Amino acid sequence: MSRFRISIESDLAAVFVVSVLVRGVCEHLGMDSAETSSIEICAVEAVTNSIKHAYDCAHGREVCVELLYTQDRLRLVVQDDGVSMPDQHRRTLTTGSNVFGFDPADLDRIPECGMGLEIIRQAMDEISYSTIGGTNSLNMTKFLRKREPQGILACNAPS
Amino acid sequence: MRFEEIRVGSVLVAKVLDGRIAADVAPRFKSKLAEYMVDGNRSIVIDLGSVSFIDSSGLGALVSSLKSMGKDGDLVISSAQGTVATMFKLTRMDKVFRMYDNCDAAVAALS
Repeated sequence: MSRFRISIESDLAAVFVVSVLVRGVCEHLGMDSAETSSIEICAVEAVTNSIKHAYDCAHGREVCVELLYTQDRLRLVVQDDGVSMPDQHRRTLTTGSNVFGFDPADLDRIPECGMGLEIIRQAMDEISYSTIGGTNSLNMTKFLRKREPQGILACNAPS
Repeated sequence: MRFEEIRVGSVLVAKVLDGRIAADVAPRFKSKLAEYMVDGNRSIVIDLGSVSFIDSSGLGALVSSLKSMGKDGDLVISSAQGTVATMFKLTRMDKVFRMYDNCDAAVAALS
């Protein structure tokens, strides 16, 4: 297993760093563009949710992003120590929401917000959320298609 | 946010020059689109050809602008690709917005 971990300040302007990391790792691992895009989107949505909702956009807090990779899966973990996700939103992660069940012709009902969790649920294969010792963890797993390995990874914590 | 604006007849083409439309800039993005409409533009092409990433906040800004435009005009998308196109599909927004492969096709459709 290979592991990459970064932390960013709870500032929406810093979220691009998460994109850079996730996209870079996915491309280095030889994932196709669709998989890379999905994982990047999920990472950004999850981190943005932490900053907006767990920290209420307060600066000076920390959001950690960890990528763990094995041959058949990529696990993305986003952690914060802010306000935990409400039960209603946790249920969205398992049962889904109808936020994208709209009639495209019914403009008034097209969502302008509240899409992030459902995007994650649809794009990822396994999702769980936990709060342990004041740390909230959103765990997202994507099972990967078979591919040829692309060189040796430089990683900070092989196991 | 940086935009390049080109007028082709009655159509305003607003090319987003920034590579990302995410939560940090979504309010400014939404304000700029509102400004276009306040200025009287009723046929607008948002050219996303230089945008490599959009999140749900950016999409929300586009949806809000589409609602503001309502039936009084057209707001369409051109040149979405890669992660941006994936995001439109994941959220079914590709069914909500009229989307064109390139700017010329979008302008032709609105002219």
